[in-house]
Amino acid sequence: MKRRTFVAGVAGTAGLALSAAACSSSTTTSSSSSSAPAAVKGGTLNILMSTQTEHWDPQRVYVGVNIEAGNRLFTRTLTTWTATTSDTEVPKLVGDMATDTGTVSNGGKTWAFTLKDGLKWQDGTPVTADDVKYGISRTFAVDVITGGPNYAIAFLDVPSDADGSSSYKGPYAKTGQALYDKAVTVSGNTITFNLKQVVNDFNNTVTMTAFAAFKASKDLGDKSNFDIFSNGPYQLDGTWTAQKGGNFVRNPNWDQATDTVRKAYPDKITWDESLTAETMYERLIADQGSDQFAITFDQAPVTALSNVQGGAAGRNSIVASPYTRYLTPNFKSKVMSNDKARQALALATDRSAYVTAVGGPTVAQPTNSVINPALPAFPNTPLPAGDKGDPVKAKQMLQDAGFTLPVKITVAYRKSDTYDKVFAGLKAGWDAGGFDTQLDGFSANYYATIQSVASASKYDAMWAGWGADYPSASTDIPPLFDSRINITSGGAGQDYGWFDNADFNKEIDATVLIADQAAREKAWGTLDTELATKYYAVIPLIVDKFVFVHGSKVVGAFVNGAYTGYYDPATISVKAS
Amino acid sequence: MFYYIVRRVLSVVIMLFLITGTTFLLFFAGPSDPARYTCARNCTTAILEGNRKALGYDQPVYVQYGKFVEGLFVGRDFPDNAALRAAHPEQIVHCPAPCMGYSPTTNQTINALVATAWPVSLSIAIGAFVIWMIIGVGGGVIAALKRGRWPDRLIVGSALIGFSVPTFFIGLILLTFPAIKWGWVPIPHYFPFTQNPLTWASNLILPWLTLACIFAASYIRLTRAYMIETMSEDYIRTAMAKGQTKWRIILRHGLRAALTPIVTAAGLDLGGLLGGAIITESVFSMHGLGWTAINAVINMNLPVIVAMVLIVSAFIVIANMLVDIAYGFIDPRVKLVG
Repeated sequence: MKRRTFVAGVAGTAGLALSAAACSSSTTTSSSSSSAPAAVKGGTLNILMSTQTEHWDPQRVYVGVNIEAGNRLFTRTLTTWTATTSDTEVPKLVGDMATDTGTVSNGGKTWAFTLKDGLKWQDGTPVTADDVKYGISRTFAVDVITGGPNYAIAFLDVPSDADGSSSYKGPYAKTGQALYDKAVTVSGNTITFNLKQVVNDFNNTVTMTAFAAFKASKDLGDKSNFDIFSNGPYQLDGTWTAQKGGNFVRNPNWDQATDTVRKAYPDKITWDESLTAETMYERLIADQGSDQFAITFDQAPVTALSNVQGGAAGRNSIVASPYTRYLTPNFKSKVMSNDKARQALALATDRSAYVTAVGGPTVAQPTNSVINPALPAFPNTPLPAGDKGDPVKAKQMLQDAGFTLPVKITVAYRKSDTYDKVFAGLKAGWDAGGFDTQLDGFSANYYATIQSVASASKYDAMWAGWGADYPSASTDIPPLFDSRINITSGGAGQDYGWFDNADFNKEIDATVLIADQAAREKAWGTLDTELATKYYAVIPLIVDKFVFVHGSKVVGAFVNGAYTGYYDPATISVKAS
Repeated sequence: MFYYIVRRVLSVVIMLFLITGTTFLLFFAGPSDPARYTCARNCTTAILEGNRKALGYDQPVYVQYGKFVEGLFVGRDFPDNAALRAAHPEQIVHCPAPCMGYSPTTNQTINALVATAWPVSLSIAIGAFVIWMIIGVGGGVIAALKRGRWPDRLIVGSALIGFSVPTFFIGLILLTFPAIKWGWVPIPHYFPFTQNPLTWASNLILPWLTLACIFAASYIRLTRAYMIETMSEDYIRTAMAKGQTKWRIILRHGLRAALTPIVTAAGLDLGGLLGGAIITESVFSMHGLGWTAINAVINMNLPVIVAMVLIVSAFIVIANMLVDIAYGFIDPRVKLVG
């Protein structure tokens, strides 16, 4: 071909390609204010991490980051939470694979969900209700599928053996399969769950990926741990390398029409979990090159905190995390069995010392509720005497109650350099309030130790931490304070303070039966307040804060506080360049 | 000589058995329950026992150790669950001999893990070794020759600083400024040599320099000291009297004699480094053997811990043995008796 023609041909093709690209990139305005940049389809989002993924197997995931990332990228669930358009917005429960948020009957013991049409796996085969039933059954194979939440075992109406384990041993051993088939039935596109007790927020429980579908033909047991088989907007490109990461590309078999939550703006998502936290945050704050298109789910280490607001202005989030730290007075101890002693301890607690010791108000904020501030149930219980407490009043209270001052108490906490400082500060407050505090810090097997019978006669109060499993306070109050599911001859379970109150348990039962979600969550909030201000069964201390930074070219990165407390990838996009 | 070598090899094998056996004992003697570690919250007894069985920790310690040794010679299957093997053979991973175990947290045989981790440690060690030997020996020779004058003081002074500054500090400084803030070099990631030697080298230059700073410092002082001692020997004076050129004397007679103890030290240092440079690998996020070992300890991953202990001990013990044997060849005054 003549040279001039050739050059013209190339130029023409290039021009055509450019204009085609311009036409095909659709712009959708985000629902927030007009000053926010519009979301653009395309580009590569880089996810940088310093904590390693333990599981991608939906029935084994129990870490907030992987529950949320998995759900937004490749593991759809029956129901899920909407994405947020600000760091403080409360998400709504909506149907994800199901047409709606489920139908409850039988007084809250039976739940039915109907799958949408057009749901496909990444190989084009349809996602069926049987896939969902199979996925959930894997939780019962406790000697193969380890690490995941056991709500399926706790809630589904499958009988238990004498030793407390479920009579259904999972789909590999198949022992008790008939029992499972009775508890979970499939009819066409509808899956029905029969529960052994009333669970009015079961449609919240199924937002956990442990209730997601799993294709039986792809099941390799433990070997499936990092095998990602997607029914969401992205699929794995190649393989996942443990402790290193992987890349995700679009799943051509995901239909946007079936999905109201995920926008899937980026074309490609890279996940690099080989980094150290300090280096990663230096890079995010420096914002060079590909880091401009990066987000992370790991929060800023202490070394980076002072740089966050200066170096990463306008692209950081400082939010209350889902994790609360609290103190449980031990009802079995002689001192703490006295109501006034517990109240005095609460009064003398100096939460400002805790906040200072952990690193200041960007790291923690005081609280008097076990429920985290992002949840609808959060009652915002007022502090008994402000951040610093009132040791003078506490001392008076002890004297009036007939105690000889100082009152000797032993407090257990999980030892670390930071917590040594924290408890030194708390001790100062308590000692000023008429106590003589002996601190016992240790870290090996901390939770297993404080819940043991031996600890009941050793400690007067124990430190603990907790976060809700999903945005209902039914995963806060009963797991920690219902004596009937916790206290056994073997130990206190998660009710570390051995709180055992029949009236309170009746209130739990009544709350569980409330059908309306909003009213029920409000009731949990009331119980939370009672625990702190009526029974003094708990002294909530602080809520951890999460600090996140993202690259300057990332758009729409908002923390979904109630769902998991991390940036929500459902509506994140990256600028064109 | 032959019997000496045989005896040494035998003692290496016995030592490795003792070391790995002790590691197994220590792992279970600690206060933390390793099965509890992988059992999430709401951990009931039934689930904890299921976990223990899945990890293979339900067997007595000596049985587990026996299986580990058996795997080295014969190979193993994971999970070691006969019922599962019969019903679902597709779920079983077969690890051929010499099988060092299976890592539950990364779902791969440790052989596969080591195969990816070792080239990283090897790359870091070799590059750093070359740099520190050139700087260390070269610097030491110059310092020895210019003893007392400003080149000597400058070199020895720099060596002192290099020696006193901790590895992680040098590493972080190099990572923060040349890489992240100034962009002189790419932020280090590991690329295999076979993929692109230039990319491999440009990404490793910072870890090399980090290690070289520390090691070069001690080799400068070592070389300087041995050179000074050797150059004051009578035979050097004889060579000078005979009219040999200056550099021939320095290199052929002076350095050659001083090199013997230096090579010994270098062999031991390299041997230890091949087992992984923990701090350097962690600072630069390079997943070599050192990083793998630390990560395994943090995650209470017994199979990987034992395998890393085995590998690192093997490198050090074998390096010791080789250096001792080499001594018999290098130094004519030494005779190794079996």
